[in-house]
Amino acid sequence: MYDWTVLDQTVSETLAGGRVGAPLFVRWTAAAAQNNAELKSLLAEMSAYAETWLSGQPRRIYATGSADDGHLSLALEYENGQSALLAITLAHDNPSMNLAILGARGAIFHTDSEILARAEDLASGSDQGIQQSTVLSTSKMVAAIDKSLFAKQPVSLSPEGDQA
Amino acid sequence: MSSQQLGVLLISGRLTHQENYALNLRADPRCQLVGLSDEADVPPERTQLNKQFAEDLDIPYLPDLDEALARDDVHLVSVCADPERRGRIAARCADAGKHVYVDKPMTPYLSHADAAVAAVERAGVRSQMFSSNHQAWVQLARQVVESGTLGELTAIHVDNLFSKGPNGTAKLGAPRQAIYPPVISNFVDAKAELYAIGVYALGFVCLLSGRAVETVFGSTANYFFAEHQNRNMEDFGFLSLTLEGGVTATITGGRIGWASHPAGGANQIHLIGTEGSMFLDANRPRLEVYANDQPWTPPEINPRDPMGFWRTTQDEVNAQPKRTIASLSSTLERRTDASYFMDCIFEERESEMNARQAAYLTEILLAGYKSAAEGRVVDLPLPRDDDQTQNPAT
Repeated sequence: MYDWTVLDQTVSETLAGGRVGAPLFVRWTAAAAQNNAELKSLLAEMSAYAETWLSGQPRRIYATGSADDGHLSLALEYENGQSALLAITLAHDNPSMNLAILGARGAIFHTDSEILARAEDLASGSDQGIQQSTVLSTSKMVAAIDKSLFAKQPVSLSPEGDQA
Repeated sequence: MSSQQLGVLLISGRLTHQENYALNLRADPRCQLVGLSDEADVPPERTQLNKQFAEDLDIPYLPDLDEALARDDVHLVSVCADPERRGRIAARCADAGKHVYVDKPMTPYLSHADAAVAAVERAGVRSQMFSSNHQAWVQLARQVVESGTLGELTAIHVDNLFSKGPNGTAKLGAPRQAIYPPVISNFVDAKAELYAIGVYALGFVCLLSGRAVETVFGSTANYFFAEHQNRNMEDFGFLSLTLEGGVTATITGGRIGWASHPAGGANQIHLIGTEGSMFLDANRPRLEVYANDQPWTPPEINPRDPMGFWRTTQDEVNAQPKRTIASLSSTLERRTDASYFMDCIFEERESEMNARQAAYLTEILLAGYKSAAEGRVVDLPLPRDDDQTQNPAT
């Protein structure tokens, strides 16, 4: 797993500053998974961060791709009208990511690999509490991703994050 | 006109992309502009704009389209009519035996798309819809895919987001209620942006994958502009596609506001393969230039073109280019889409963005709108009987 704490903090602080207005859309593509088994949990973790940045609950998700083939994409639509497109693939020893957050009055862009620190490589200062809560909050999203991949259709979510 | 030149007839003038295409065609030594025409029943305002553009170019205004198409010195027609008229005019030009260069997207109607393809193939003329497929950074992406460096292509993610327009005015807080068929028109202050801009990204996906699209999931939004919201047209949208062979793709298309990007917008491609991935950006590699001159500011709003759609109206308010980013590209890499089409005609080969491909992109876009309205994944091809409700008046 990766620690995106620094990214999250910086994005959240920037959004809170209000320069770009209300955040409306998150586009986040990461080549970050070390193996196929990590893909779904990483994608669900990315969705948890997107949820934080957009301050909204997803009402519907649609997943495509294949963990076996090494790539997954996730489209999310939120209760207040925001949306997100997330994608995760294998790092192949060259992790990278591209992030865009569109706001009503501006946008945030990030293209880099420097913040892709693996959690186990970080010093003890990494925020274990955030990582633990992220893992817990994403378990329902993994189930929803599985359901959408199986059905090949969007899946509606209840306000609590359960599949409706 | 020499025997090595093609005579070009323009359809529609000012406040269309003809403002750009005509100049690119005129700049190609293989072309000579012959005149400007349009359908007979266009509104008086359109006629006036057409006459003005003919004057701008110092070419004759030809009021009768049939007579213009019958001329022996017209070999190619550049069709920039309004979206609703574009497909039928393209078919009419092909039926007259003329090569067809058409604005993007070719048409919002499946029946017109099919008719244009049939006419072009029946007449044996060349056709091309304007696209960004021939830009150097897109061709680099193509070379990467074809080289096998990334292994087998498994996914493509493309963004085409134009940083134009005075954003921050849309009423937010609820999901957009999409409708099908969508509203596809060029109003003075709004266009359907998934349609008008997303078509570029779709073109990249088809070019790079070489695979057919099987299913489409779409979503549209009103995030930035009250003008689009008031017209019931989206200013932003995305599609999630499945392609044959298990390949997937996502695209975004939209207009995000003048100040939301340091250059013309976020135009980027993320290629995912079995052996690696690569990110390409139209604005990279680049120089970044900072100086103690006045920072760039958005142009004054021109009421005749508040979103910055057209060159002439932006010239009227003295719109200045953004200067922070200078993309690295050689003069050779800046060949125009029009010149690529000239190559195709003179070398007697099909354009990769011919009428058939343009019609295919229309079908994918319409499937996206249908998905957004119905909240489900839509399979391709679309049933042709849909067209009865989509296109009742034309």
